[in-house]
This record gives sequence, structure tokens and C-alpha cells, in this order.
Amino acid sequence: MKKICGSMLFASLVIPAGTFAAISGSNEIGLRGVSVSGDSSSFAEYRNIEDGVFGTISLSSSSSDQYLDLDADYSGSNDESFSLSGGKYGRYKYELFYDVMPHYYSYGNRTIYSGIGTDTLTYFAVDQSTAPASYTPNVPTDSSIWNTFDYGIERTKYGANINFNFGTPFYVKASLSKEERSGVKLLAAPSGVHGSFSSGNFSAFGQLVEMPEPVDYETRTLQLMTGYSSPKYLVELSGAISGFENENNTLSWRNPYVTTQELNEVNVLAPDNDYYKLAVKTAIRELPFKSTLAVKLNSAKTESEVPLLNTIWSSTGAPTYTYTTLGLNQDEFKGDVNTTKGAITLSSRPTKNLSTKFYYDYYDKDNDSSHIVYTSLTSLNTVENHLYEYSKHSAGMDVNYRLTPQNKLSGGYEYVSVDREREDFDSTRDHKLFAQLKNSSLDWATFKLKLQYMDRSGDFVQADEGGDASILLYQQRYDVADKVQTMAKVGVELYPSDAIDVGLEYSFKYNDYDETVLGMTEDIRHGVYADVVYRLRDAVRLSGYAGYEMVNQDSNHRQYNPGDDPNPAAGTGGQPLTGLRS
Amino acid sequence: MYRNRSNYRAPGLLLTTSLAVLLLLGLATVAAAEGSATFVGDETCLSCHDQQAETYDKSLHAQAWSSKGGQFKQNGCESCHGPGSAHAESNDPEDIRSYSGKAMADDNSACLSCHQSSPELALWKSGAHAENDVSCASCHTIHEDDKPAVKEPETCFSCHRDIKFDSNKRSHHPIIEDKVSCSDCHNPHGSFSESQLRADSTNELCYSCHAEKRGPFLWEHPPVEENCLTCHTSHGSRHNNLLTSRVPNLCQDCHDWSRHPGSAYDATNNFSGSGGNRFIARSCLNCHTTIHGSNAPQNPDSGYNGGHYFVR
Repeated sequence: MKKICGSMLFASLVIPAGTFAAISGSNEIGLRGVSVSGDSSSFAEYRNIEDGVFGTISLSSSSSDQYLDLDADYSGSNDESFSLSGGKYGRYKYELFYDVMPHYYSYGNRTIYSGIGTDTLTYFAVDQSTAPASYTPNVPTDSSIWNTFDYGIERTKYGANINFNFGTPFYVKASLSKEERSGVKLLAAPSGVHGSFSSGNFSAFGQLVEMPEPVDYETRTLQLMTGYSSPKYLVELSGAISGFENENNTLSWRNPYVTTQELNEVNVLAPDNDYYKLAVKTAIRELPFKSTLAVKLNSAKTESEVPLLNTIWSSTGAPTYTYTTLGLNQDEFKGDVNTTKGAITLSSRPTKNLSTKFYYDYYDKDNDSSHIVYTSLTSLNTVENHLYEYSKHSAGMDVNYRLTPQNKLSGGYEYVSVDREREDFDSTRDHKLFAQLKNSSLDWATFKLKLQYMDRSGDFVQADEGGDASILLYQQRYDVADKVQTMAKVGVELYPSDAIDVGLEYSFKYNDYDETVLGMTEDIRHGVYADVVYRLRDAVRLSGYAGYEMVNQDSNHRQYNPGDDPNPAAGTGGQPLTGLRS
Repeated sequence: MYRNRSNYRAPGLLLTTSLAVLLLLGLATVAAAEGSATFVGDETCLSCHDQQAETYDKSLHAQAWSSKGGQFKQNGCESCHGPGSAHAESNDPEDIRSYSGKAMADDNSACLSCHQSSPELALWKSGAHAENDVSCASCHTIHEDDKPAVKEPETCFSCHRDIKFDSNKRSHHPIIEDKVSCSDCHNPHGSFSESQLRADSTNELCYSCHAEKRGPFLWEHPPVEENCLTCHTSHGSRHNNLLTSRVPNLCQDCHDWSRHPGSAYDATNNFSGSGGNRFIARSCLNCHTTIHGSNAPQNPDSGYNGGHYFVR
């Protein structure tokens, strides 16, 4: 209610008295009683579904040249939203907005830890009189005394947009927003060190810890845009700045599998980062053959600065574990990713029945981040990071031809080439063709058929790294592997009367990874969808929908023992191709 | 049997000529109807179309024309529908410009005559909606109230029914809860990007809300860096966290090795024993939790607790 009153007070201050005629709108208020059995967090998820009062307010006022709207939903609850918008026709418009959205994951979770929601998790000591002296403090095994909490995040976003043109072709737009996220989400981690509740060592595979990760994020974004837009020309310059801050850069958690000492593990959380973007866009309309030429160029940068940790728990050493100090070539990681995009599109209508589009798009991601090398001070082994970057070229054409007023034929071709800094495939090339026919011969039906074919080929450049790593010579990862993709979509819209609309659609997609030895080899998807809308004199609208999907995936895997020959055809020292599954 | 083709020329020629004459007459009729029709004024229109009369005065167009003056204020309804005298006399929908069941070019020319200079419509003609004959009136309600804005997502779902199906799956972006709208991610009027996204790439769009994934990270996961949709689907999924398939299947489609992760994770032995955590809880993500990237240190001599394997 405070926010509604505040919005109206703001409006009364900025809008001259007597500007508007009478206010119209609606005010709905209701009572809600809720009873949920089962996992109520799934039922609520993004909404505040609780007992109580809820309502919406929608107010509008306008004059001959100005308007003002206020919309408020579910005021007072944690999924409320407010919007105050207004403007002067042909001159300016503005909007103030405020929106809250919860995201519930699960309720009533239990943890041994205290400090939930902070960057330090520790568990409380139990009655030491019942625990062996060598195990202090011991992990409480009675879950009924553990702490209870809910996994969930609340997102609050607010800001303002304003758009000026003052009745001229020139315009200025500005947008400022702030988004805050707070709560806890699930984090899981392995023990990392060999430990147990008694003597001896256990494999870390069986020692997992689930814990609440604190979420306290803030993202601020400013966007500015200015340009000139007339029926024939558009020139626009825009920029954006976005900053992300995480109040918690690390999470320290006491390892419950190590009871001979207080061993605090550290997870490094999402880093602060800054994003900058500058873009230029231009369009020229009313060219010959009713053409429009549009061009866009932009450049963006993402930066982060993270002080690096150079100590880590040794993974062995029970019953006493020690910190291992690592060698580092520099003590700070500076993230620096630059992207560049250029695009040009020419769309034309040479004749009344023919329209065409030609386009070219270039995207480049350049990674200038720090090259970090960790060195073991005992063995002098090293591990270093790999900076991923890629560039992508896309070019294509679409043609649409109206055979008759009721029949339209479309087709197109696209070529996509990607070069990557990657050890398996360093480049891929896609050829994509599509054809579509749309028929509306009957007054009460429209039919559409679309077929698409894509052929991807790539350069497999994986080197033989020896030992177990030799298996990579036979692994083709589906996101870049050679494949042939076939897609089909058939749809029909039926209008048997003015009151009823019926829609039916079938889709088929088949990915054949024809060169893959190990990895996904086939992906087949069928989907059938239907919906119906019934309108009763525009006062009542009933709708229903149904769908059925079937997905079938096949893949090959190799399971072998360390030291054996990873070659899938090897018949000794391990199992051949196995693990085929659908 | 041999047929003398000359016997078929005369009837064929007559048929073709007849069709041509009929076509010309039809076109002439329409042209005559529009060419000879005159403006009759809003009161004449609204005397029959009372439903539109109830909301017309509240509409943004009525307000805008009232303030804009000139031709628009004078002609009102007929600014978009054309001169109405012929229709007023015959009551025939064919004698007036309407916006249902017609070719898109006819539908949109009236709208574009005013709105073409809008920066939002700079790429309309090259967009997928224009190529698929979606008219302005297909999405925007012109006569209703003062809000011609599209009612999302219902309007979009009326054509994109597979997306409607996805949006109602158990893991989904809050589209049906009205917290994320279709136009937050897509520009329905056209853009330079695939699927008419409002960003230069899929990842840049995702980072606008999920800035904690923006990095840059010390240890990167290449498919994550190139395209979020390698592992996720954007509208809805049967699997947790909008994943395209279930973990560990998703991870094993790319990762193989001796023993772990090469062991075929299936139902025979992965709910108990040493592999007992493979299907429990978050499966691979139980350990490899920082799968989007990590800044944690890495001991070259051990992989259990470092950032290189996304374990910290």
C-alpha cells in the first residue's frame, strides 16, 4: 500500500493539476485460503501462494494529449509488482517499475550447519561427554536437532525508463535498473580430503556435503540510446553499463568428514564483474524494389578482478591434514573478454508476390584474460587455464513467393562457420536449407508445412595425449560433432465458427551424429500439440491444450580400467563399446 | 488415343478469357468501391459497430488522433479502414478495408504509414513475423481500451503452441507467472539476432539476468562459454534447471574416461555401492558444482578439490 500511495504522490507532483479528466480503472480484492499436500515449494515456486488478502489495482487517466497509468498486482506480498507509466503523445513517455519475484526450491531443509545465509558455515558442538576425546567436536548425527531452513531466492527489480522525441525525428532513451537477489541456494561439494568417522581412509567419492550457498547479488544497469528515425532513415547510437556485485566471494564450510581437526574448506563463489557495450545501428528504407538496408556494429567488454588463493588442503594425510601452498605466476586473475558484432541485412520486395532477405553476421569473442599457472612446489607439476574464444560467420538468404493469394512458398539457405580455441574441434561448418508452404484456400482452415535440413562438418584436431587421455581421440562431443539434422513441422489452424479456434501441430527432429564413435550418436524427437479456444460472446473465453513428446537418444560409451587401451575396438583389458541407452 | 489438340484450343481460350474478364471485373469492382467511396464519419461507423463504440474513445489511437489533428482527427475510423460510404450502404465487408483474413501487406500498410519511422520497426520487414504474414492486428488490439500492447504470453502462445507446452513443464522460466514476458528476450518486430533475440548472442541475453554466470572465470567450461543452450533449454524442460536432458546422461554425452566418468550410468548399479551417488540428488553436480566456471585454486598433483574440475 505504501508503494501505491508513493506512486500516486509522485504522479501528483510531476503532473500539473487539472491536466487529466476523470480517473477510470478497476480495483480487485480477494481472500485466499490455501491448503497444499506434498511439496508446496513446487506448487508455489514463483508465486506467493499463502492464505490472506490479495488484490490488483489498475487506474488510468488521460487527456487530449497526455496519459497516466498505474498498475499494481498482489500488493503487500512478495510477488508484487507496480508500474507507473505515462507520457505526452508524440513527445515523451516514461515508466517507473518495481517487481518482486520469489523462487522457492524447497521447504524445511535440514543442515548441521549454523551461519545459514552467511559466508561461513560451521556446525555446533555436541555433548562431548558422549563422544570420544579424540573426536572434538563431533558431527551431530541426530537430524532432529539440526537447523531447519528453506532454499529460495527473492528477486527485486526496480527502475525507470524514459523516452523523449518531442515530436521530432530525434529521440533519446534512457533506462536505469537495479536488481537484487537474496536468499540461499543449494551448493554441493565433495570432501576433497580422505577422512572418516573412524580410523582409515575412505574414498572422497562417497563423502558429499550439501549446504546452503548465500545469495546476495546486486546488478545495476544503465542504458542510453539516441538516434534519428524518419520514414526513410534510422541512425542510432547506444551504450550500456552493467555492474554485478556479490557480497560473498567465498564460502567457508567445515568439513564434517574430518573429525580429527577443524578443517575448513573454501568454495570460491561468483566474482564481481562489469560489462560495457557500445553499438551503432543504421537503416535505410524505401530503397529500390521496396528494400530496407540495415547495418549494426557493436563492441562489448566484460571484466573481473579476482585475488587468487594459493593454498589448498592436501587430499591425503589422515589423520592430520595440512595446507599445501601452490606456486602461482601471478596473484590476481584479471578477466577480460571482448566481443565484437557486425551484421548487415537487405530485405526487399521486388514484386508484389516476391520478397527476399540477404544477410551476413559476424560475431567474435576474444579472451584476453590472465593466463594463470599453478605449480606444485614438491613435484613441480603444473596446471594452467585455457582461454576459450571463438569467431562466427553467418550468411544466408530467404525467399518468399506468393504462388496464389492463398498459397505462399518460402525457402532459404544459411551457411555458418565457427572457429574455436578448443582442443577437439577447432572449426565447424553448417549448411542449412529450409522450405515452407502455407495454404489458406479454405475460409475455415490454414495449413503450414516446413522442412529443414542441416549438414554440419568439422575439423577434428584432438591430439593424442597418451595414457587414459587417448580416449579423447574417439570422443566427439555433440555440441560440435559432425551431424545431419532433419526437421519437419506440420500445422493446421481450424476456424469452424467465429467462436471456436482449433490448432494442431506435429514436429519431428532427427540429429544423426554420423561420425561419432563415443558420445551421442542419435537424437530423435517427436511432438504433437493441440489447443482449442472457445469464445462466448466475448464475455467468456475457455481454452485448453494438450501435448505429447517423445525423445529417444542413443549414445556410445567405453568403460575400461586405468592403464588399458582406450581404443573402443580393444578386446582386452577392458570392455568394448558398452552403455548403449535410449 | 490420338487427340487433335486443335479441338481444345477454342474452349481453353474461352475459359482463360472468361477468367481474365471476371478477374478484371472483380478488381474493378473493388477499385470502384474504394475509388468512388467517400468518407462518412465516425458516427456512421459506430452506429452499427457499437461494440467498438464502447471502447473507441478510450483507445490510444482516438486520443492520439484527437491531439494530432488534421487528416487523422477528421477521418477517425476511416483513417485505417478507408472511405466507408460503400460499406455503409451495402453492409458488405468486402466494401471496406478490414484486418482479418487478408494479405499482410494490406493489413500493415495503414499501420506502417504512421509507425514506420519507429526505431522498434526498423527491422520489421526482415523479421520472421513479417515473412510469415503476421499482421499488426494479429497481436495488437486497436479498439480495446487504451492499451494496444500485446497481452503476453497468451497472444504469442496462440501460434507458438510448442512453446506454450514447454512453458508449462515442471522446470520453466516464470513466463506463465507473468514475471518474464516473451518480449523481455525476443523482439517480435525483428532483430539482427537468431530467433529475434534482444541481444547479440544467446549468452549475452542470459547474462542480462544471470549476471553471476558472466564471469570471466579462471577455469572455463567451453560449451558454457559458447552457448548456454548446449545444456539448457530456455522455455521449459522436464528436467531440473531447464536442462535438455538428465544428468548424468547430459554430461556423459561429452565426457568419457577410464572408470569415472566412463562407467555407463544406468539403473543396474548406480543407486548403491561405490557408484551410489551417480543418480542421487544432483548426480555429477554433487561434486562438480561450479559447472559454469570457477576461480578456485587447483593442485596439479590432485584433482579432488580444485577449480579446474569445477569441484570448488
